[in-house]
Amino acid sequence: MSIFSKRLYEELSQRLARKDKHGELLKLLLQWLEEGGGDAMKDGVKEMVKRIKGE
Amino acid sequence: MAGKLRIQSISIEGFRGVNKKTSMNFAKKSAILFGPNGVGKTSILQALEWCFFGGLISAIVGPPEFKKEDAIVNSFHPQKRATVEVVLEDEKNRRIKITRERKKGRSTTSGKTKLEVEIGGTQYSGEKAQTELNKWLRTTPTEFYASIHLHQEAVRDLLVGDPLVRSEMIDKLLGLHFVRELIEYIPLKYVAKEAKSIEEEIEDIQTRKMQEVAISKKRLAELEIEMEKTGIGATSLSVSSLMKLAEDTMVKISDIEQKIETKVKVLEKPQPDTKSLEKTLGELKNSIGKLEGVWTTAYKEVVTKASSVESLKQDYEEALKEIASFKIKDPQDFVDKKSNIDAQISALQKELDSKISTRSLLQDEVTLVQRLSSNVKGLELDIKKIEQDFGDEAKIEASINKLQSQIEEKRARIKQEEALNSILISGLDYLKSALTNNCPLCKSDIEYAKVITTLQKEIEQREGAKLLRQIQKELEGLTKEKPNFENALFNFRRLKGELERSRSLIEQEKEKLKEKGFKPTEDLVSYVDSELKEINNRISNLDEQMRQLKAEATEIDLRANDLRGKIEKLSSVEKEIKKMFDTTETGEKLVEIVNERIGELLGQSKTLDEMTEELKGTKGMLETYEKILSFLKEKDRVDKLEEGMPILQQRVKDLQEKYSKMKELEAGLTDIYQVTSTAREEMIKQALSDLQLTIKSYYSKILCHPYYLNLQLIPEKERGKAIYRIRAWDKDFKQGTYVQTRFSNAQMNAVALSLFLSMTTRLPSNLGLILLDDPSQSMDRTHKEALSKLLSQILEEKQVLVATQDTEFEQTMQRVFPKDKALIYNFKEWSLEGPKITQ
Repeated sequence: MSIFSKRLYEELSQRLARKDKHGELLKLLLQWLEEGGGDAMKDGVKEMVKRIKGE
Repeated sequence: MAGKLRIQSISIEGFRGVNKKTSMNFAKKSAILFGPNGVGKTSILQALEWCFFGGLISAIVGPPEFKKEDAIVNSFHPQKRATVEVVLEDEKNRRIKITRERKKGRSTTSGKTKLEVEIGGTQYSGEKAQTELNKWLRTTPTEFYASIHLHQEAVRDLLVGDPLVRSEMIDKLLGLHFVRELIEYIPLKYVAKEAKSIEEEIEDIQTRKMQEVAISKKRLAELEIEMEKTGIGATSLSVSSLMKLAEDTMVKISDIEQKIETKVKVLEKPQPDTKSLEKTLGELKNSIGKLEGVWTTAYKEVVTKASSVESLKQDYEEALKEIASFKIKDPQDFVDKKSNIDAQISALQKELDSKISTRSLLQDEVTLVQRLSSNVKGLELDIKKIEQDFGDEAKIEASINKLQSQIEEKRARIKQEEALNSILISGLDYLKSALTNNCPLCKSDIEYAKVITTLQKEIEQREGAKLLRQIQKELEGLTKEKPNFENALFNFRRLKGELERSRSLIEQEKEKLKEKGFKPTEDLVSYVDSELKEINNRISNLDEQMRQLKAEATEIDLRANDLRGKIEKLSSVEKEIKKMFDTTETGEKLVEIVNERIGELLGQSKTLDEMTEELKGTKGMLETYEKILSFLKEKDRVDKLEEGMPILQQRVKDLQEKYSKMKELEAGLTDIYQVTSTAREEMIKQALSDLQLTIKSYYSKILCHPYYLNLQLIPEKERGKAIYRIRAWDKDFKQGTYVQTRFSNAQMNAVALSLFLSMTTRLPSNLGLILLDDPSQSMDRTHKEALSKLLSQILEEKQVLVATQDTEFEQTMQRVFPKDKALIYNFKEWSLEGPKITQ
């Protein structure tokens, strides 16, 4: 994760209601954004949904 | 990767306006590309963009015509190939050599480019080359477009382009593009929909499938009770029992087959499972159906035949009876009888014709005789009238003669009287005039006075007595009376003549009638009337006789035809029966044979009737079979459902786990979305407060609007999307306006340059480069001076390439730019080979 993403993570994670649970998810989202932008992030979430569904 | 990259050199061939290979060695210095419009300056700047990214942003966001042809490769290049080679170096002289090549394609955006990158002696090609290059550049094409390469059209785009595109760009420059993307791209609805879908599947299993087991079991128990009520006990509800029933039904079918002398299909015993039993059910149904078909055909055949024979028999007996009802058995007898009647009719017709002819004659006679008789009567009356008025012929003649003599007498008397009057008047006139006392006739003496007096008296007396007039009147009366008698005499004689002629004609008619055999009486009118009446009566009589005879003849014809028809019918029926039973018998004997056959057919029909019951019984067995099979199938299904219950329960458990995870993901994403949305506003505020200062600094350096001295980016929302608007304010930030509404083109250009250069400072790019294409558009000398000064400050930190056709601006830059830091390239003219450049 770049310094820029790390800073943003720190900024946002402080405000999360359940940082313990959702912090990792935020990290993932930022990682996807950094790698491929909004569409990559959307695809990443959809992939997560598929994994949960066992597809 | 420390230190910004600058352009060491560029080599271009076959790219847009450049055909022949053209090289420029910048040696990391800034440069002014100066020359008139259309000589290839912009092509040099675009070559850099294309070499870095493999495309031109203006081809993507520009007019659609870019997509209709290849606008990259120069149309006149001999190999139809574009090649651009750029060498970059950073402050530590680390070198990157980028070579991009492309063959002419169908459009600007289609087709591939070949890329080779050499970094520190390592060669990369294809996708790997682009990845490595991106790492070094740390700039996306959009960022390059917004903050490195200020295109001619970019000024317009920054100010009057799509606010959303501009705003995305600004967010990137503010370092907020991840925040924007987090808000816009988190697929919250998608995750919620998937969670809902799992929830629905759980509900479906719990409420439908699992409950279905309980409901099905209950229904099965109810069905068992219902079966019991219809006589199918619990002991019958088994596979073995059903197999026994199948065998019994097969035996029954076999019995029926024998009885109706047919064979439908050899049936196999079922296996002890519902599938095989169901197959057997189909075969049994099929066999019974076929048996029913055979039975129905046979039954129909027997019944139809019996009915047909019975009908024939009835027809035959009826025909016999009908012929017997005719007294005459041979139609020839009718023909003879008819001939006799026809002869009578013919004789009567002859008489009738004669009588009609006579009647016609008599009718003419009646008319003539009546007319003559009427004439005679009329004439007699007329004669009688004349006789009454004037007497008979002799008397009339005497009267005429008498009248004639009286007339003559009166005429003589008048003559006398007139002569006397004349004498008296003449004597008077003479004496009055002569006054003589001598008589002129006799010459005797007279006293003329006395005589005159006497003559006057006489004349007066005679006039007074009106004698002459009286006589004349009498003559007139006689003269008038005489023609009456003369006419009467004339008419009398004429009528007499006519009377005689009429009487003579009547006599002639009498003679004519006598000649025709009539015996006329004196009163011919009465006679002919009477004869005519008699003939009319006879004619009526003849008509009536003929009508009766004709009716009789018609009746005979009808009866004869009827008899012939009956005989034909009898013959036809008889022929049919004889053929049917192959016999030569007729009449009563034939009827006996037919009766025997009918008896046989009725016997067969009775046998078939008995089969109906057997078929019915077999079908009953089949119904029971079907019910039991249906029960067993349902039982199988319920058993399987029960067996599947643990699987369903496990599936629900799995789904609940997935649902829980999905909800957790949804909660996490929602939390992140909400947090990001809140944070964004604060972050924008912070970032803009930094950027505003830079914008203001540049804006004031390029010479701003005389009244609106401050520029500000305002975050707003438009149709749910976050955008930025550009507003200008007075010195105290009290009066504001959108720059698009009030600024001149030159002022707008100044605003765009301020924003562009401000953004350049924010970009985390590794390219220490600014490309400006015709930045002095619409500016006056003062603005150009200000911009040149600003650029001279920037080129201390970055490599600035400025393309311009503006001589004043070029001269200002030459004057202001430090000589050792900026090169000047003059673009002289353009030909098919490309631009001619001198340094």
